[in-house]
Amino acid sequence: MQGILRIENASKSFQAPEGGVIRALDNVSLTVAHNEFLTLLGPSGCGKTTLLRAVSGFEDLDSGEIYIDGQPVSDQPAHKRPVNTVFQRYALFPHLTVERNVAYSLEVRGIAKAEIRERVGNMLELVGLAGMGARKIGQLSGGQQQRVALARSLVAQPKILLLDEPLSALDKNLRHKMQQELKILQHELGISFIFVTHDQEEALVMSDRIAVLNGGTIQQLDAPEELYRRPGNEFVARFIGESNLLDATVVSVEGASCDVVLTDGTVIRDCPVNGLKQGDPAKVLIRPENLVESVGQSSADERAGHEISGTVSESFFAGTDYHLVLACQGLPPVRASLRAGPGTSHHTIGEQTSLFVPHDAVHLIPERGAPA
Amino acid sequence: MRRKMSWRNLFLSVYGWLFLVFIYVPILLITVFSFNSNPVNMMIWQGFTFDWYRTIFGFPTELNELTLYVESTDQLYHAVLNSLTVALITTAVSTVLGTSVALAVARFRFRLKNFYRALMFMPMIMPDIILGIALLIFFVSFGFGLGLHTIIIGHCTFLSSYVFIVVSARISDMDDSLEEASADLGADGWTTFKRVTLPLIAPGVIGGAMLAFIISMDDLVITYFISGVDSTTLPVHIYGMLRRGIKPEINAIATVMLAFSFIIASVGLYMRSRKK
Ligand SMILES: Nc1ncnc2c1ncn2[C@@H]1O[C@H](COP(=O)(O)OP(=O)(O)OP(=O)(O)O)[C@@H](O)[C@H]1O
Ligand SMILES: [Mg+2]
Repeated sequence: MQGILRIENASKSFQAPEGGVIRALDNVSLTVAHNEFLTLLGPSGCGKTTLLRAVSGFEDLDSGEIYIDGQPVSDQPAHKRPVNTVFQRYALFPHLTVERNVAYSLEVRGIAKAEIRERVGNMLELVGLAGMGARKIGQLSGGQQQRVALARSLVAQPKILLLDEPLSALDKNLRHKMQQELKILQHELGISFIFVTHDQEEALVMSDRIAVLNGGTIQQLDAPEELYRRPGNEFVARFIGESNLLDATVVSVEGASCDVVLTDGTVIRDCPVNGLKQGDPAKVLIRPENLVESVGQSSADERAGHEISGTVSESFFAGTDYHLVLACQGLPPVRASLRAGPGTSHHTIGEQTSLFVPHDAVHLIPERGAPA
Repeated sequence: MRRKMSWRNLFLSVYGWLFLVFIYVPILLITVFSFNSNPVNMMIWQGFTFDWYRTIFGFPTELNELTLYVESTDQLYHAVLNSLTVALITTAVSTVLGTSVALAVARFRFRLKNFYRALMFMPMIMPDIILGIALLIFFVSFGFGLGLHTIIIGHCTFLSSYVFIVVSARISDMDDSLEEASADLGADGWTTFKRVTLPLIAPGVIGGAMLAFIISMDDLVITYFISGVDSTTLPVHIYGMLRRGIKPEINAIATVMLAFSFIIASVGLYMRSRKK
């Protein structure tokens, strides 16, 4: 794929002030397509900002190369690269008005005044700040500053827009609103966005694809749904969404499905095989919301091999769901969110119960070391 | 709503007023005495006169030679001119030097950075008399003849560090990411400096420059050591006059200097308030 941005084997280490070396980026490769909304998702310190700064030209790589629109950019200084950044704390120029902030990148390129005025006007309108051009930055709310930052970095029509946690300073409602607006804006402008966040929900909602980073390496790069349903490893499974991860061994394989046995001896049948072979260790991923109550499932026969039983150790009602924790001997606690609807009832603590595991609710993650 | 004044508040406001009295009464007295016509004892009010001002500006007066310092106003003018020359050149040079060093220290990471910073603070805490002697020894041993140029070099050495300190404080208030944002938006180093860095640190630079100017105009101790025979500045000249006893003219000179400082400070404050 010849994308707008290609990163090849990028590595970057920092000298830690305490001594030792921090591998902020460890052999990272990825390609961003034209007009794609790609999110870098990962815990604090995993190298997201470092990767963005390498693309924008503020951090030199130790090794590897970055291509923007097919051109290697390692020896291009930041101000010559056709990318713009929305900084985490906006970094708006406090001594300039909103208008002059937005006009900045056009002014330094020596574009004619009349054209600047027109483009700035259009941009301010696009982000919903028409009529506020004469204000100083200090006279704006957080959300408005956010929009100015966006307008400022979009006005010169960069090939790629980099956004480093641009929404983290906003309150929840405004954040949801901006998420949608950003998405619409990206679609309208047809510019590739690389968006950094450590909020997995935000990533799921907004992205075409998500790159999950940890410890400077890409753990998985996939569409949100794929990432959620079929995480490639335990880290991704735990980082995105709620999860039950149970140790298991494959006991038999039949075409595309297999049976596994959990550590307490429970057998779960008809799991998607995911390249595993008989005898392989695996982690069984079951999302809490995919478990259902056994009561009401047709016959005991159909339920066999699709059930986990235990004692209710925690139980509470949260509006749309009942949350349960099931203590099963020989297994870690199993969590379930049961949709609150007709036929679902409150479980009392200490009660003995069984939960039904639909066969498409199970995803097997090959254990580290085993062939994937 | 009126708030009742408690004893504590009363005490504090009395204290506040006393403090101002303590600071301003001597200055006020000098101003008042400068208009006192008593040539013998300036502490005793005899009548209002402009004579002391007339003498220092070189106008004829009825005053007896004995009550005056100024044989000719030329010397005084010469000293004022020297002071202004020194202060203007010193201010320009030390503002540029101090600001660039402050920017460099803030921008680059290097070993011994904090040590370097501490070194820049030294001239501020070093006793003037030692700085004066050190400079004198330096100039003499390197064969500089003393004159205006040695005063200028001497002033620059310590005033650069004053500017450095004032500008550094301003830079540390500035968000580093602003310069990055500017580069990100396509501005090269020089454009970024012109359009972002300089406007943002300008209040610090102007403040530093004014401080340098006032200290340079005001300095006696250091200048005393490194000024040549015919290159006295105003403070050194006044000090020389004082050694011949305190005569009322000094009040007039002091009042004029006071007015001058006041104007400079007002201009500075005005520019600062406009910047914000
Ligand atoms: N200039 C630097 N000097 C030393 N270490 C650094 C430097 N910049 C980053 N690091 C380290 O590199 C690692 C990655 O940092 P980075 O800023 O990319 O993390 P991040 O994923 O953006 O985290 P966050 O979500 O907290 O912003 C961290 O361990 C950080 O401490
Ligand atoms: Mg970061």
